[in-house]
Order: sequence, then structure tokens, then C-alpha cells
Amino acid sequence: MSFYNEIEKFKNFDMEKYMNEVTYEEIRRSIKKEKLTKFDFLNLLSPMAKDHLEEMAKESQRRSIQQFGKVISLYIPMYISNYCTNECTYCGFNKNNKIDRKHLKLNEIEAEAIEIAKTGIRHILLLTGEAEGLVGVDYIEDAVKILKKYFDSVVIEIYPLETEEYRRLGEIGVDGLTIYQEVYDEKIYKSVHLGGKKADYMWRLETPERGAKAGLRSINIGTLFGLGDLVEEAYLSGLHAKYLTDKYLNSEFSISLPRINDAEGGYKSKYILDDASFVQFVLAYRLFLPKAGINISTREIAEFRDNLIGLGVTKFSAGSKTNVGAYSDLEKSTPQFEISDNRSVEETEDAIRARGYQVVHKDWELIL
Amino acid sequence: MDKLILGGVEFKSRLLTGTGKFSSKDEIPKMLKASGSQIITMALRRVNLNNSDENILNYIPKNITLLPNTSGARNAEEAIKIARIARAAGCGDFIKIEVINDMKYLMPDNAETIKATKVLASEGFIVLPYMTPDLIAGQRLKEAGAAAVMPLGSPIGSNRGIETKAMIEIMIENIDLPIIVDAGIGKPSQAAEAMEMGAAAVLVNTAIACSPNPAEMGEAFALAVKAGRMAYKAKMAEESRYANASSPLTGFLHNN
Amino acid sequence: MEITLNGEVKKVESENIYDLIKSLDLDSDGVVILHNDEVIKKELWSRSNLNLKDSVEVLYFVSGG
Repeated sequence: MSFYNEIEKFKNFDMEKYMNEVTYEEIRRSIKKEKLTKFDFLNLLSPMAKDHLEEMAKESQRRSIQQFGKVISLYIPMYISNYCTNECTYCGFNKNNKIDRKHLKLNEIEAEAIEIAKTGIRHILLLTGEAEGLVGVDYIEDAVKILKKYFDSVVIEIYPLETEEYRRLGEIGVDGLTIYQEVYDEKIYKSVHLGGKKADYMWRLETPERGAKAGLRSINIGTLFGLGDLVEEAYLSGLHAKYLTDKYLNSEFSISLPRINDAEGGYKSKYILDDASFVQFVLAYRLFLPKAGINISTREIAEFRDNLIGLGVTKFSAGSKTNVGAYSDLEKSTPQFEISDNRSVEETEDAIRARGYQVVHKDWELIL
Repeated sequence: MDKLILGGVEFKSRLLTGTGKFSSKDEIPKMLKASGSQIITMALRRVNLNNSDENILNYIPKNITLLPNTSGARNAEEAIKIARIARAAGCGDFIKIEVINDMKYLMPDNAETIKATKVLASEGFIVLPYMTPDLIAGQRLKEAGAAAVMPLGSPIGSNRGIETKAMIEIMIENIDLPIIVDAGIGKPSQAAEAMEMGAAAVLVNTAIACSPNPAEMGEAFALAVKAGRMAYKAKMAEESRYANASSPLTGFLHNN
Repeated sequence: MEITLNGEVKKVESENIYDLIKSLDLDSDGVVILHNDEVIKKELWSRSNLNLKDSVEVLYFVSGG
């Protein structure tokens, strides 16, 4: 019994027919409901719901404030290695891309950590590519031990691990993991993941569950908007979050909305997620998943991110650099994706406060 | 300061009270002092010539605004008559129009109330009509010249709270007049509820008069009214942060 | 003479409102007098003469919500 069953069921679902038959009344009712079903979620994702964004936004804001207060948590991503044996057609670190590869030694990781800690950020996201041998669990473990000296919360966004490996990292201080399915549509998944272990769809799909079974407290998932049909991917990623939330009561689940931008991969996206749809998805996620965190990275421009603040988002990255060794200004390597919000941590914090929200660096619930 | 303005007259207190049903009339001035209520209702009746009772006005301090009601009136004509008598008797310009034909529930007759309001407003009265919550009737009362509208929360004396909440909310949202919830408020929490909804004031009689300690209960109600009003204002301040007229939260999507 | 007093037909001796109120032994403070549907101010009571078939209402303010 895994989430794959839901995906299979969905393969037989006539999405187009459903969307053509959704009515205004159904959408309004879905907005007002306390507990939404997956059909309510679909209603909110429908094209017609675009006429109800303000109503959805008001309800979303109300519930978010009730659940989370007026708070945005901040974190910073740190890339420690961009060597990768996978061949994802949309990614800057694709094995076949001729880019500047870099892999930090432990002392370099420490130098990075020291620089980042100066910003006051206490929550760090550790990222690597997938390269067996070079970026093994021992390396990750050593890196985490260093980072725990400077940060209260360490989350990893690396390649999928075994449950035991998550458990081991959990014991030395990893709070959680981020893993994006990238695309839930199985066929498209195969077509964009041409080589390396990442080509294994099921292995990736079941990763969040392994993390939860290992006792990791916070698990962040998402689809990469631009690879597959936008509404379908929003739907399945939302369903995935709901499935995990209902099944694993000891973990907190959050969702991100990365949308493809120009990267070194040169991937030309067939599906473009425009701003209005982005906002619609944020609101739909919030109403369908009242307790889920919603995480927005610096892929989004400053102004847009700030406008999202009242709409149900809970976490921002700030002062981000996505190239390896960027913070301590080591030899320049190639970034994974383009940063659009270039503000410093301080500027980001000011913007959050200007909206009447409080900045949180440390999530007290995660203190062990 | 956040004043209640009725017919151009300013009041600090948003708790209106009534003189009905007190076990002892001596409680009335004590209650007024403890609650800070500045407007109180009374009725006009024939003196019992065989056994005269004391004038209620003796129990009301001079600085309190008198709000005579037209209780007893079964139609607009009778209400108008009573109002004119009250004013001629020196009560001032305030009048609460109460036209009730239904002896079972004491439901007001909105149609007759609108008629009476029109006439009395044109004669310079500050008209506070008591009515069954109804958006259309409320709009007509405004057009007729009412200084406020007083929809009932639940039947007079029932103390059932704001059973008509949905209707009153609609009125508050759509009628540009002070809305004073009158009748049915049984507990201070219900008064707070009315104020949080955006009511301009509440009128409480039975719940205070029939309490074992009306002065204390009056004070409790005054605090509840104050709390509810503060909460309402705090919420309004938040909503006006995003000044964009029609879509404060998602308006930014259309600005490109 | 016969007048209607508070809705009832009554025979009274008084010549004017002032005398009438006195004869009824009422506290003149606070009563509102209607003489033939007109409110008569206290100062004018002694000058309000009663005639046959007049209607007089003696009202006062009582407790009410």
C-alpha cells in the first residue's frame, strides 16, 4: 500500500471532463469547507477557480494565521558538491553538462558555515548532487556534524537514501529532508531522467516515506512545475502531501512550488506556470492541507515573494546562492538555478516585517 | 476617540439600557452609574388614577439621554402620536419606534415602523426604529431618515442571544447607518459578539434588570461592549492595511 | 360636567386642568397631560379650561425597554 496506488487510480480519471463540469457554486463551497476532499482540491485547481482567487486568498490567509500565526521561517541553502551522475534534462548539474564542478572538503564546508552563520540564519538546507563514492553518506554525516555546530536545524536535500541511512543521519542531528518528485507523471518522468539512479521512479516516489519511517521530523516535497501538466502535477503533489500527512503522524510535511527557470540544462519547458496559476496553487494547497508548510525559494523574484506573504506561505529561503562554495567566495562554480531574489538576509527580513509578519530563525518545535 | 454618533449627538458609551423589569427602581441609578450607559429607554402610559405609581424619570439622572419608546402603538399613527407626546413632555428629540401587533413574540411591524419613521424624522426627531432584521427594511428606514437601525437579536426577553446573526451581519455590511442590536441579548458574551460583528451599539434591558445585581451586571455588559468594540476595530485596522479597493490580497497579479 | 378621562367617561367638578389634577391627588411632577389630544405644559394648566365632552389623558413615563 503506497502512494503509487493513488497515482494509478488517477491514470483512469478523466480530468478534462471533470474540469469542464465544475461549477461556480461547487468552487465557492469548496472554499468555505473546513475539511476539503480531493474533489474540493480539484475544484480549487480548476481553471474556473481563477475567478475566485481573492475569495480563496482571504480564506487561505485566515486559516494560515489561525494555524501558524503571522510568521515566516527563514533558511539558507548550502551546496557542498555539484558532481552528479544523473542525467536530468532540466537540471544545471546534469552529468553531461560542461560546468564547473566543485566538491567541498570539510574545512571548506566549515568556512561556508561560518560565513552563513553571520547572517543570523539558524536553519540550513544542505544540498548535493548524486555521485556515489564521492558524495556518500559518510561525507554527508561529516558535513552535518560540522553544520550542527553553527546551526540549530539541518535539513538535507540530496539523493534518496535508505531508511536506515536516514535514521543514522537523524541520530546525528538531521531534522528533515527535502525531496522533489520532479514530475509525478510516470511517462514524462522517464523521458526527463535519462540516466543514473534517479531514473528509478518508484525509488524516488517512496523516499518521503522512508524518511518518515526513519523518524525525520520535517519532510518537504513538491513537483517541478514545467515538466508535466501543471494542474495534474499540482493535484498529485497535493495528494501526496495529504497521503503522507495522514499516514505519518510524527512528521510535519511541507510543500514547495519550484518552477523551471533558465538553467544550464537548456531545458525548454512545454508547460509554463504563470503567476496567477502559481498563486492559485499556493491557495489550493493551503486550503486542502491546513497544516502543511508552504516553502518558497529565491527562484521567485522579490516582489512576487513578498506578495505571497499573506497568502499562506510559511517558509522562505533568503540570501541564497546556489553555486558550491559561494558564501565564502571560493572559486566560482556554476549555479544550479538562477536566483531571482537577490536580497540579503537582512533585506528579506525587513520586507517580511514590513508586511506585518514576524521572522523566525528557529522553529522551537524542532528542538530536541 | 471612538464615539457613537446618533443624530449628530456624540456618546461615549455603546451600551444602551432600559428601565423595564427592575425589581426595584432604586437599582436604576446605581446601574447607570456602574455601567456608564448614557441612553435609557422608558415607556409612556396612562396614570392609574386609583393607585398612582411613581414617575420613572425620578430615577434617571439629569445627564442621561432619555429614549422614550412608542410601546403600546399597534400602527404608525399611534407611534407618531406617542412620539409627539413624549417630546412635548420634555423628553428631548430621541424616540425609539416600537410598533408591535404580535402579542405572542412581540415581533415588530417593519412596514408600520417605516411609515412612522418617515413622518417623525421629517419633524426633527432622532429616530431609532426597532425592527426585525431585514436588509430591505433597513434600507427603507435609512431612506426614511432614521438615525440608526435597531434589529432584534432574538425575541424580546428571550435572552437567546443573536439568533439573527446572519441577517444582522448582512445589514452591517450593507447599510451605512449605526446598527444597534436590540432585544434578546442575555449575556455579556453575546453583547461582545454583537460588537465584534460590527454593531455600533447594543441595547440591553431584561438581562440587566432581572439579574440579582443589576449594577454589577450592567458593569459586566459595559466591559463586554468595550471588549467587543476593541476587537472589531483591531480587525478593521488589519484589513485596511492593503488599501487596494477590490482585491487587497491578489490585486498584485493584475498590476502588470 | 362629563369629560373623558383616561378613556373613561367621568363626571368632574374642576374647571381647568390644574384643578383637575389637584382633585385627583396626583403628583403633578412628571405627569403629561393631553387635553383634546394636545400636550399642555404645566405652566398652562390653570388656563386650560375644561368643557363638556373634552378628553383628557393623564400620562406619565414608566419603566419600559
